[in-house]
Amino acid sequence: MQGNGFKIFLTVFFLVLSGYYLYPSGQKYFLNQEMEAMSEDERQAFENENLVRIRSIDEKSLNLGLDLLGGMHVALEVRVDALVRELATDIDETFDDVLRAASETSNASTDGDFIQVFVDEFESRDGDARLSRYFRNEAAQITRRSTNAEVASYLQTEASEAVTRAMSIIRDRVDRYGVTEPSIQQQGSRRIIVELPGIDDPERIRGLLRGTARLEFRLMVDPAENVRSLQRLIDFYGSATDSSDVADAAADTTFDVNELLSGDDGGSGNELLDAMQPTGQGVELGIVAEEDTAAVNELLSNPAVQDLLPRGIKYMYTSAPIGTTAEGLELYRLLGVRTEIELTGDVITDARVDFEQFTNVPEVSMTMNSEGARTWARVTGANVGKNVAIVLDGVVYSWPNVLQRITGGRSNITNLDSQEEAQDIVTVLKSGALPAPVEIVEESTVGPSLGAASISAGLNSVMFGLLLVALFMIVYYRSAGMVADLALILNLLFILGILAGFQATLTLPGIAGIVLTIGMAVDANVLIFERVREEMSTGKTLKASIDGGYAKALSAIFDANITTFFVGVILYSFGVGPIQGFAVTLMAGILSSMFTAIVFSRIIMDYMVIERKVGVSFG
Amino acid sequence: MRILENTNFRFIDSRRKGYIISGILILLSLGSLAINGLEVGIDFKGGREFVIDSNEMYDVTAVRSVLSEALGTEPEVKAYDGDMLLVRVAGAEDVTTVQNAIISALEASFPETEPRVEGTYAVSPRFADDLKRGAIYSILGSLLVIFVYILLRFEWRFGLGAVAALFHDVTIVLGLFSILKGVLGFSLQIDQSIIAAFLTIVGYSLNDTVVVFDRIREYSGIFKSESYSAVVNKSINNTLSRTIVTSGTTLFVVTVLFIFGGEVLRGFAFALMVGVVIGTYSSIFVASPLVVELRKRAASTR
Repeated sequence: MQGNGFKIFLTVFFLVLSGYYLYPSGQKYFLNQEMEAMSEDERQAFENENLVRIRSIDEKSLNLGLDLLGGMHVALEVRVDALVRELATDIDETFDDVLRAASETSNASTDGDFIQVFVDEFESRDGDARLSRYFRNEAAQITRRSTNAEVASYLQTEASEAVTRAMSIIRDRVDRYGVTEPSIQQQGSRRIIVELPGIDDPERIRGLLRGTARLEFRLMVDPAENVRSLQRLIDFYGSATDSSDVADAAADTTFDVNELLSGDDGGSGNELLDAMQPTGQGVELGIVAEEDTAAVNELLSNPAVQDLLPRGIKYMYTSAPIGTTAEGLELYRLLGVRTEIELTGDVITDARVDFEQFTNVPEVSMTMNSEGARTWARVTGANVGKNVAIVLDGVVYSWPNVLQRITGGRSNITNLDSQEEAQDIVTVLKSGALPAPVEIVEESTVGPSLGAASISAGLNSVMFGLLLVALFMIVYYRSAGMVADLALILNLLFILGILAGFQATLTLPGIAGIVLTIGMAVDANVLIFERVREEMSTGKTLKASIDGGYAKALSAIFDANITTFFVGVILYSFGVGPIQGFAVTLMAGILSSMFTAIVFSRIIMDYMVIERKVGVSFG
Repeated sequence: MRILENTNFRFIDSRRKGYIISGILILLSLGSLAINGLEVGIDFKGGREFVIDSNEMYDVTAVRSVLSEALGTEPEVKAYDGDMLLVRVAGAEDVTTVQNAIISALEASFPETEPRVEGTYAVSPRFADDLKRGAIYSILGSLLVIFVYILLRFEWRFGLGAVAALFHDVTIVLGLFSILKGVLGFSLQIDQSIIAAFLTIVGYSLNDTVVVFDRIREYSGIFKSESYSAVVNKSINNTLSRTIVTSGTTLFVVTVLFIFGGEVLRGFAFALMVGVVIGTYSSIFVASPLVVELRKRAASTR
């Protein structure tokens, strides 16, 4: 028994370690039970009193995955291609071609380095061409003479900064929204994983995470010019149609929804008129149904058409629909705004939700810094009687007519749907604009009842699995089987201890991994016991048989487990989310089952055979 | 209690039968994979999935036709965990838009129900490509690592035998997924958790194989006077009871998972159930006989 001193020490050490790591989880369980029993008010008071303690227990206890807890998981991708385009000046056709090609290749080659792909693509077209012509930037010391490598490293820095900044902005937004224990992590070079437990309004979160909050103040198209543009557009797309249409439409001050509906059947022979009801009033080009917006955009972006339109004007839709068609399609105004941006959201120092004085409709009121206020005063002063557009994320929210020069740097966003929308705009404005657009590439939401169902499914599986295997082992191996069962229970404790110690997250696939481990963990003991039986059948004493059995089974246990462990490692490195949870429990299970079978069960055997001389039956 | 102890089955002598059975299974699997194909989950092709709960049960067929009309595409509609619905929609429009369309269509067509979205899962096609690539890498990576490890610990014939057995197992389980596609009452889609199941099968089957190999390695040193195939046969027989016991306990627990693990783990548990059986079979009838075969070839050319 003396020889087992180190083994006993190890077992006790791991036991204490697991206990130490699992203690907070136990505390949490009892705390929850306690709090469950309280009334709502009592609980509130208790929570306030023990805030620090509760938080520290929460932090240290076993993490449950969102699939068990319920909540929302979102994988966001920062669009580095959009960032590169934004950083560039003097963009020409070649540049856009290269960018498009790079986006395609980069998507095909996964999380690969977009900047590198972009630079390679650029160089492959013309080896001598210099990227510096697009990215001249004094602050970053990119001059006409900078090499492509210098530009590439500048872009790299910008891209990685953009991802970092996007992360902190998203964290800020999530905090402002108010989520308990959110987790926001970077994955790879341009993805951000956001985990939000207990979310009940995924739609709002989606908007909040994606919202770029690019606020712009722009001047608008000159009304006379607008009518001329419309005329030219209609002529271009429908030389067959009689051109009196426009005059009619422009003169027709009361817009009739039914007119649009009747025009919708595509009988006019004019592509543009099929998709848009022309109006040409003031800054408005026409009215477009939701489903036709893509078609209209396409028609307007035709290069030949672009030549017909005045320079420096682009068309944007309004945020709120002005009505719906009989089929329930929403109708939006298409307005002409100047491409030049007078002011951006950067000048906004404060934003809050307000209510319109008479109608009580929610709106967002904003305050600008002094520089912004000066520019705003100058712009409004020079454009009295004209419209200015307040544009958020490429959509026109309002386009008030300037009545007088506005000093003091105040402005507001109106035409909002709800107070929540106003609140979210405030949140997004305050946390700042994202440096580049982000896209949701994967998301999952799990309601609380689905999560609870998964927890009980997991617990049931563990319980029944354990019971079945434990019973079998006793029936098959008698008292040795009981030793194996003890090892199995210890094993379970170790796995949970490892998970808690490494701050791993327990998911449903993770529980599946535990259940599987219960079945496979006895394997090491089975290997040993079968060997012991074989040794005994050759007529050796019990003690000699146990010695021989353990010694001879060792190489098989080792080789068999290590390969499965490798599979776990690979699964962990290539899998995502829940699958990683499975891989972690699988690996933890393999390590702890080897330990319990080789070390722990041996201690018990030796104790029974040598110390107590009671003997062990191997069935 | 003892199961199959001190047996003396003539596994190696009758290995041709094993080859024929395996051959037929593999041909059937490959045939079905070629003709029937596999059902790919949204993990690997992108799409949206909604779990919808309501106060009343829906008629799946009726829901399918209502939603087909509302969404303009044919969605996949299934019963989920008893009284819930699982709706799967291909494409890449915004989750919110699709969700609202589904709920309003259900409310309009079944006014007495109160549909509620319990869970959603959405993957963009681009992200799905990444997941697919990750899955392929992990499968190839596992096979490579296993081959190299066995090469180092044993010899190349064992490595080849083990990897052949793994291909055998995965092909047959995949084939079964293809053959049973749509036949069983639960999802047999190939998604990330199925890949995890396959890799576990790979690990498990290997575990079994390695135990037999370990015995062959040991006995080759002891029974030098006997023929190699006799040594292998003895090794298989002497590890047989361990093989059956471990397969048994593992089969117990994956069956428990299949029954109690809920809808999420059903396909996963099913793959493991089949995999454990096939993996056990292959370590006896495929991996070890192949090693004998390779040895024989070496002996005859020498």
